Amino acid sequence: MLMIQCPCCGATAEEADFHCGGEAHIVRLAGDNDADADLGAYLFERANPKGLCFERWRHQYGCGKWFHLARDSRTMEIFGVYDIKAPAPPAEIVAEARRRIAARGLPEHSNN
Amino acid sequence: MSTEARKSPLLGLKAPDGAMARLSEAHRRGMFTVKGDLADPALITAVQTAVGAPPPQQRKYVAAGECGAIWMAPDELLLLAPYGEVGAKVRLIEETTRPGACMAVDVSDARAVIQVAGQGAREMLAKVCPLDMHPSAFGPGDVRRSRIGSVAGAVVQVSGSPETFELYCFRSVADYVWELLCVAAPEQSRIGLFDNA
Ligand SMILES: [Zn+2]
Repeated sequence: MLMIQCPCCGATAEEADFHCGGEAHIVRLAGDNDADADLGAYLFERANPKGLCFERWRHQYGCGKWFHLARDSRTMEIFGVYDIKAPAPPAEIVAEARRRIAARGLPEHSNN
Repeated sequence: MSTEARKSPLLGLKAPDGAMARLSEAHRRGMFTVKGDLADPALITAVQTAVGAPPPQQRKYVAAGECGAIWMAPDELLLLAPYGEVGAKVRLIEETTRPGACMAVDVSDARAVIQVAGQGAREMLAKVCPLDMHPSAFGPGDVRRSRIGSVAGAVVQVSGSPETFELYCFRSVADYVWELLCVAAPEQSRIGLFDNA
């Protein structure tokens, strides 16, 4: 069970109060003239990394707001939460994640 | 908008005997949702005029006579008032804020309010919600929205002595919440989790 602190309402709550909205920072396509292969990739292809990952989460049973969360999919360690409008992970959260993953003697991502 | 009071969603259900806390329904409570920028001075004044208290701080509740206000989200309040006065208060908010700046809606018949009071109330709630109910983490004036059993609900502590909590849930699931509380209620099941807290 993850304990997550929602950056929108400040509450620390159980994972079951939240809903994971999948991989974060997927760039939208331009619009009307996208190739089928690009659209397929946009809709369905995900990196699904084993290790450091960035996800969108919603405080579903709480304040109802969306936010971003950085965690390690191997250890379930949470490195930080940040604004849903951020187009990319903030540098300080990436640095903190790398520092803590290295402290465990793990690579940023593992194979398979 | 309601013109007459709906029936209680808990008709026919009674409070359990030998319970660690008293269960009752706060029936016909007037409620209206306000959505908007909670830092907007016009909205703050409108809320103050409507319920006699300014918007509460994050995850807080304030009472003012027969009215009150619950912080629901960064852009949402649930305001409380006598059932018959909600329509006028909704109009007051609409008329004293910039058009389109916020939204006020009568939701008096959307939710049920269940009161849990007494020394065992905290322990009873700890059994049905995934919240930290320790007095150092949850005290009078605190609000948390979470799950009650398997449905969404808000927990508000309205008094510290005697310990009194109010649960807000959608009225369609009020009988479920009531019966869940009845299962958690027996005094014999009490372990005194927070007695020395
Ligand atoms: Zn939240």
